[in-house]
Amino acid sequence: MNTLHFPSDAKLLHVENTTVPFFSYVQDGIEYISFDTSLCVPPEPMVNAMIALELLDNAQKKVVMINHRSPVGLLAKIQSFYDIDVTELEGGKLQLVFSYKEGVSDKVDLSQKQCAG
Amino acid sequence: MKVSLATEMAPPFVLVAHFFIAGIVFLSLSGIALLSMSSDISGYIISSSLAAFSHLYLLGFVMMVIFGAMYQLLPVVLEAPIFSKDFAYVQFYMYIVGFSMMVSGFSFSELHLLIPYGAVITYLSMLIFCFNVFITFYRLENITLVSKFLLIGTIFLFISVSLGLLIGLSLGHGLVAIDIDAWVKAHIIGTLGGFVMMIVMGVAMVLIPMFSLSHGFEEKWIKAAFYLQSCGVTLCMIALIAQLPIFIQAIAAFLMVSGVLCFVVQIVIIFKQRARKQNDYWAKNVIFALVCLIASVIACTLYFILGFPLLGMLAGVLFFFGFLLSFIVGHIYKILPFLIWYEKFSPLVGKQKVPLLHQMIHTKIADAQTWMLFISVIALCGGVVLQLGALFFLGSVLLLISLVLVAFNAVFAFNYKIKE
Repeated sequence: MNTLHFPSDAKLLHVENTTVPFFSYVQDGIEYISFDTSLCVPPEPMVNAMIALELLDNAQKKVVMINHRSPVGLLAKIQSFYDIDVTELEGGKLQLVFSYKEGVSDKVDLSQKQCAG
Repeated sequence: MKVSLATEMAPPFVLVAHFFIAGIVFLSLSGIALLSMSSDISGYIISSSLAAFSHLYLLGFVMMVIFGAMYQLLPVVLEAPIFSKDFAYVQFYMYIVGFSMMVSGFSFSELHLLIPYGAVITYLSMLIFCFNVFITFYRLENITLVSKFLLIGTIFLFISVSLGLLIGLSLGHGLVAIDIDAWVKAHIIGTLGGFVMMIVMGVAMVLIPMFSLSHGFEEKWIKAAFYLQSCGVTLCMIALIAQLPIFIQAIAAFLMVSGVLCFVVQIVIIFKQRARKQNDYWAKNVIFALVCLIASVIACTLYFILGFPLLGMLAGVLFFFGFLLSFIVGHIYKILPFLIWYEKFSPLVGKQKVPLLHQMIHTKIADAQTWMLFISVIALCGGVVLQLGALFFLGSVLLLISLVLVAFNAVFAFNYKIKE
């Protein structure tokens, strides 16, 4: 799995039922939970993103997703519940950073998985 | 094109499953029917046995799967729900009854009176489909390139089946005096070149980048293909029906050939930029389909220039089995598990380990099926070129075995259960 986009001190994070490895690292007091689904076809990006967002339970955490394109179906479902920064990486991949929104993110329904990857 | 296969606007899985399951059943029946087609390889296209087989295969399999795919993809591409799901169910059952009557009439001379009645029912069912699509488009504000392919393809369907109905009524009841040969050709070109090819091109621009993980490619070739193909098919149909001079037909043929070649170039560009490099059964099928499409276009062009019926038959075999069958079966291996996954396993995400799409297909069987399909197409083409009925029959047997393996994998995907 490509970990080029994560810092060298990123540690493997054991999370149940994911289809790609998850990594964790700390920068400026923020814990980042990262995964790379840029070589995965739908629905794997969505599967891993929903699992990662379950872990995003306070403002001291962020989720970093590397994908080959914008996960439009996922964003349509959850974008109002998180702050999302999108950056284009070298080679056309996208990095999406999901940040916790106080008083809003807790209301997202991550049990509803019927969306596009 | 940033779309996926499933959204909350997509129709219920059971609706799309109707079309896919029926398509696979009629594909298997087509494989059985092909066993008795060895005597038709000389290339005379106005024969009842060829009409029976081509309608069973095209209406029963190709168009059935296209209808199912359209109902799934239209809401995703247009970002608007299909106008009426109930209409789609009515269309499905009318379509099954109508084309079954037509195929029975073509197959058994004592049942030939069923042809016009079956044609009318099939026609009405297709009108329901066209109406459903047109109303869905009518409510749309922005039309993308893919939407244009689907819309123009559906307009060609409406025109072509109207021609088909007139041909059926003229043959059965002498409704209007027509040049049967020219009208049948216009009907075939409108259906295959207009509806089937335009839908395949549009759908390919969604599915191939999605499954190959390709992005950031230029789209000028597919834009050229859209205009060349739609203008070529229109001109060709007008030239045939209005009996315009042969050079008009030549210009139309040139436009269509250029359109198909532009489409092939576009897919090659997408494939070159794919992030996912492995050549699985999907990639093999798509590549083989494109090679056969080019070979079919060459054979068709030579048929147009030289007029040998054998070349027309070769072009048909390459297009029907080399291109359409490989392309559709390759995508069935991706789409069917995808839709079943969303229906059965998506609610379990995060709660337990869910299967990946490729696990829902028996890979060894799919690989064996893919190679057997390729060999069978080569044998069928060899049988036509060498006019060897035995070789064609051997190809038919291999093709039938390959289709049984497709059906096996469809059942495998539907019955897939998470291992404890």
